[in-house]
Amino acid sequence: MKSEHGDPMKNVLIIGGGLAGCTAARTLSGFDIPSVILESSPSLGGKVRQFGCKSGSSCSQCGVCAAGNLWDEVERDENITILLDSSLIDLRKEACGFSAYIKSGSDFIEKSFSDIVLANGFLDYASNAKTALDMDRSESILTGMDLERALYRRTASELFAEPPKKVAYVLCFGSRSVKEKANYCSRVCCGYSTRSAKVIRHYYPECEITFFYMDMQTTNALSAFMQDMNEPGIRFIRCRPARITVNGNDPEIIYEDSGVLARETFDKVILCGGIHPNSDNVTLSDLTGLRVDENGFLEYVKPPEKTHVYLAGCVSGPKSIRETVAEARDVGLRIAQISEQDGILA
Amino acid sequence: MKIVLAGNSVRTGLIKSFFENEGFEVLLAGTPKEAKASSDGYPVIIVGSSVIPGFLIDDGYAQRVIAGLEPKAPAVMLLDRETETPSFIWDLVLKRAVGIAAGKRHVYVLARSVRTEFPGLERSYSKARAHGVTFIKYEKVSVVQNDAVSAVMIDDGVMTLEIETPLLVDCTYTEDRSVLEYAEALRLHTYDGGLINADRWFLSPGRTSRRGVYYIDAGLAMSAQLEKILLSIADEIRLMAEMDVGPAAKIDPRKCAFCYTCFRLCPHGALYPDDSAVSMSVRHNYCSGCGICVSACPANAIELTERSEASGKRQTDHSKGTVAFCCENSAAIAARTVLPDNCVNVIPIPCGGSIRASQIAAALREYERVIVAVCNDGACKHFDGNKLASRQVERIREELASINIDPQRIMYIQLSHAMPNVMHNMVDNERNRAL
Amino acid sequence: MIVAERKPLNDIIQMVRPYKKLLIAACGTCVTVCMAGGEKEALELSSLLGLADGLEDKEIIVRTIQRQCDREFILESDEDIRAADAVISMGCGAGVQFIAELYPSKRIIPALNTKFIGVNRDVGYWTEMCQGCGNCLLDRTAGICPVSRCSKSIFNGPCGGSSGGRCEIDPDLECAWQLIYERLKVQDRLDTLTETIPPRDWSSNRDGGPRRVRKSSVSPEVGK
Repeated sequence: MKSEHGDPMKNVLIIGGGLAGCTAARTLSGFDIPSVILESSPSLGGKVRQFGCKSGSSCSQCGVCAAGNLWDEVERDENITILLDSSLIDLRKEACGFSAYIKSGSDFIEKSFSDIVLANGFLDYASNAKTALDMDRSESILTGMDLERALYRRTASELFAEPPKKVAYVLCFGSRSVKEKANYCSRVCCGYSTRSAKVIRHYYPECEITFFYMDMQTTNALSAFMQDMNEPGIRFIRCRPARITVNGNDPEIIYEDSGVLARETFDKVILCGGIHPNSDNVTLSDLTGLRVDENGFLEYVKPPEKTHVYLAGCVSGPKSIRETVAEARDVGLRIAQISEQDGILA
Repeated sequence: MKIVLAGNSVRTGLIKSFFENEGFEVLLAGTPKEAKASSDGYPVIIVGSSVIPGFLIDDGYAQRVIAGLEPKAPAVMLLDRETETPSFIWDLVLKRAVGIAAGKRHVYVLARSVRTEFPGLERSYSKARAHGVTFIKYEKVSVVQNDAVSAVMIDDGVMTLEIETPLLVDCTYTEDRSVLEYAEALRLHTYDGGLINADRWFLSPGRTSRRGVYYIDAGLAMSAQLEKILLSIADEIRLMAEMDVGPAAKIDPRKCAFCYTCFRLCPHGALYPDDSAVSMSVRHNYCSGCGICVSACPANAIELTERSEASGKRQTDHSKGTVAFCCENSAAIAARTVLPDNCVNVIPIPCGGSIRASQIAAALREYERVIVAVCNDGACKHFDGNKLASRQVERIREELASINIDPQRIMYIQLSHAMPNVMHNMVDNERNRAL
Repeated sequence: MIVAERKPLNDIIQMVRPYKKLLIAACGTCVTVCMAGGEKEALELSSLLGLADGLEDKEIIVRTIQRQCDREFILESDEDIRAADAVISMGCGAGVQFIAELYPSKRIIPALNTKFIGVNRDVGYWTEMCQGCGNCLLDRTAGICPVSRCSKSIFNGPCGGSSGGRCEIDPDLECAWQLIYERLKVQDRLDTLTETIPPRDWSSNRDGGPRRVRKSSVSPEVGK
């Protein structure tokens, strides 16, 4: 998309080179607005780049395809400058915009920007918890991210090295829990767990799958989807497991079912982990004047059109791929549509 | 700039004002027929009208009802009685529950399952609990109505509970079926028996299979996200008016036999018979350049002005090699990720549906093997492009078989960019077989 | 329109074997619309022939003739026709013959089997409606032709063999006379059925040589 809009005065700093950041950058580029992506890791893509395809006999609309070509396009885009291994050290408001002090590799860069987009994503709770619970040496305990990576590596005939006979999904792991400091729903786990379960059954039709859940969050489309889950060999147990241990080689779950305590071993246990706030959020809040909400996510204080600081993606709370893309695109559109006269810095 | 606002929803007035404030002239269309008539050339926004219990949205009515109740009697809000209650109804229920509880009345909220994924819903739950609202999950429910009092009996699999209340609010929500009529009138693609966007990742909130036609379902219309979505739609409409979007199909009117095939197959409703009725024409801003019409046209009268076929061709030994027609939304990306540079000649195509049997046949004259690699079922951005491709492949295979040529010289795979090893393995197996 | 279908590849291959320079002449009208002999199908045929065993050394070109039933369009490709050893016409039977008439010494090969006059019911699906019997009685049968749509072409049906509204000859077909009855009922014209349609003079139909139509106000006195 090209237009005559390209405001020569606009230059956007995007913090985070994941799905939200890259989508915003590409949207802006469509208006010939240059941007700089600050990515703290050595590569673009964030979490979504590692996600795999959850199509069983047909596409389950997980949204990963939204990223498709994005990383290549960003790398080839002349309007986008990518700084890897980089982070924001300081941010100062100026008469017309911001002055950002950036550490990139071992260099320091100072640059002016008209707008800032915070798209630094989320913390994957389950990965941290797995280490904390000393389960990271177990190949049988997977986090949602581990499962995504396996799905990415899938071949026409094989998903796991060994066909599993019993798989358990533990939902709300790190969500909806005051104890785990996440008194909210991570919103995407029910979706990706049921979708990936279909894929497991596609490869291994005899595999027994058990969901440990609180409430299945289904949307309109997923309801038809959920009917497919009503098959022999798929159990839904409404309980948060009391304990998950690794007993010898196989993980064991202790849970309550209809008033009775039960223990069961599985070949694989998948911890559907929560979307937790990024550890940088407090720092960014100090630098930009945005507020950290009661769950640790960033939120607006004043409208972004006035402050020129925008949020895109899971930095402001759990959201699906679809929602992230829509939000990042909208942020790009908004920045492009607002001309210099409209935006007044507070 | 004109837009058409179709449908009869409680939110229609609000949405109309929004667009008028953004500088649009809004034409109202109360029926699908009116929408179709006025939509020629103008963007259309359809707002789904569904039946939401008046008690939840009409504050005045709710207040009157509550005022007429006995001071100490509890109120019961019953959800999930017949069908699952969508999240946005929960939002309304919680707000109403808080309102009732604030008047020092006990409120029970009964549901089969608690919806939590609606943004911001947690705060509503906390607030409701702080006001003393009681939430109970049930498995079975039965109601006995006696004049002014309802006896609600619930069973959660372990124990039963009976509550008597003069105010039983059945929060059943009836979905809007008139949307199907709009879909037909405006030639929109529907899924799963009538859903217009149905969770498709490429139809971000409010979009439909046709550019310039938007659909806001009841949930979206009632949500706090509405304004944000309307803003993005307004931005997009303005953009579309200014820009020439993407590669467009071009029809040669001398060749066009006016058979309407392209018109019927276009997934985006971008083709229309032009005024002079000499040939079919393309609405450029609606055309997404998928190429399905190019493949379908029996007169070869359509071409894409910006061809992606030429790009990506690499130099290989044509006489023995393999060529892969790869959908650029899936297979082409996977190929770039996992195939080493010179093993297969990758030709990206805009959609599996753009591939012609004649292209495959022509390729077989230069290459030993032809791979057709397209999206998974249900993943095609142009809805059925991958199925069209599979039929083309089948047809050519039959033709080949009839003249004793190995039909497996054409290979067909479905994948997405997030499962690239499927392509890698196929190419590997091929090379091993050839060796 | 005229609906046709391409012949099986092998049949075409047998016919073209002796010739080196081939011209595939697509037709841009009826056979394009019924997806049998338009430019797209011609290009496809060209590629498939090139793949066939023993035909690799042939020189094949493709041209589209707007309509093969009007001389001027055929003559637009005069040079290419003369240069070819044989012409594969993808037009209907009329087109094939017309080209053959204009180039009597040239081998003209039909690539299609012409099937019927019909309508397009859905993308890629056509059904027969009219057999050109030359004496239309559609008004008496509420717009449903007993010649083309009744398996026995009877005029005062039904034959009595239908079952569940389906023809006894081909159960995939609906009994035309049942359809006629139902539609006459809708139009409140059932009494039409009591009028017998007399036996047909089939000399206005397919026997007795090719039929001619002349519009005297326009046609020159001596027509070709």
